Amino acid sequence: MGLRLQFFMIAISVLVFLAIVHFIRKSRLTTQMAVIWILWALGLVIISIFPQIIYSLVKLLGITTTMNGLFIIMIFIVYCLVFFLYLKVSILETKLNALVQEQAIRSKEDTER
Amino acid sequence: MSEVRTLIIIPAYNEQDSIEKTVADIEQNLPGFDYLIVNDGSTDRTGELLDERGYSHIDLPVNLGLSGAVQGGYKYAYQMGYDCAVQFDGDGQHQARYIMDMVKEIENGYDIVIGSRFVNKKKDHSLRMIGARILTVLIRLRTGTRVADPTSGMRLLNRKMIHDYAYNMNRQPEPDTLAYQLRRGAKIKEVQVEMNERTAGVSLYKGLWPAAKYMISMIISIIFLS
Repeated sequence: MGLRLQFFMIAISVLVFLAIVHFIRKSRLTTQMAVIWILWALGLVIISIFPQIIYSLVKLLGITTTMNGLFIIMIFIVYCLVFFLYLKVSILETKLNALVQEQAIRSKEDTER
Repeated sequence: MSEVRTLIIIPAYNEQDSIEKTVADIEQNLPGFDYLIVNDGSTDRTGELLDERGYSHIDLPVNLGLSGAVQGGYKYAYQMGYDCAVQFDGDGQHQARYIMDMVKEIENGYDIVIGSRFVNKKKDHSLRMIGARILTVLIRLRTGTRVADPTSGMRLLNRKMIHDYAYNMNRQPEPDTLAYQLRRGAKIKEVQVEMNERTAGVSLYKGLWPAAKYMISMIISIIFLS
């Protein structure tokens, strides 16, 4: 990785980190979600300071080009995050349904009383 | 009986085996105190039991988890005009006889009073207590205040704090919220209490992975978010 790219990476990852903390401070993100994003941002900062981690990981996986390896790793992490989101949305949807149904039943009970 | 109106909030998720004992403890040791059981969408007979016995309770139609249940209790406490409210676990760990001492400290002007196991007692060296020590040290570093028992679930809040916990995001009843409040100038007092072994149910953080997840999330939250 060129020095210029590395500086760019460090700047971006630090900015991402600050943005995340800012949004949480403004109460736009729950702690559970925030922890995942902070770990992610910290990871970005670490690999932009020590890109050797990626080099050896890529070598270990047997991928010839570093950039390809980086893409594969990043896409995999994003893939995991998206799946986690799907899980959360499914649970939310189920709970919302239960809540609306319960509320409807209770209001019928109330009007009949 | 003091003039301060106190609500005892009992979050209950599948506590059919211990909830009667908990209520009996309150009725015996704190006669005249109001309590509210928050039935957090239990799947066992907790709900029926509460109706049969005529205990003061609300039923959440879906399971929200401990934070959501306790927050529901604080909302009720705020809307009903209580001066302070304490979280009191339904699994038989907490003892009602200590609540009077805690209410006195609210009268002395503290915002949050913690029923603490370790004011004048040492923590043992179990993995659980090592975790608690780490949190104590972190909170000390971040806020300058020593909280000997940050993971205690027995917390008494004054009316200002009830409103804050009831209506704001990220006020889970956990150590990171204590750090957050301390950094915003809340005054916290610990009162020595004893706790029982759980008479029923299991810890939320049983198992290595949930415990590790809990610690990571608390550490990050205390360092970056408080």
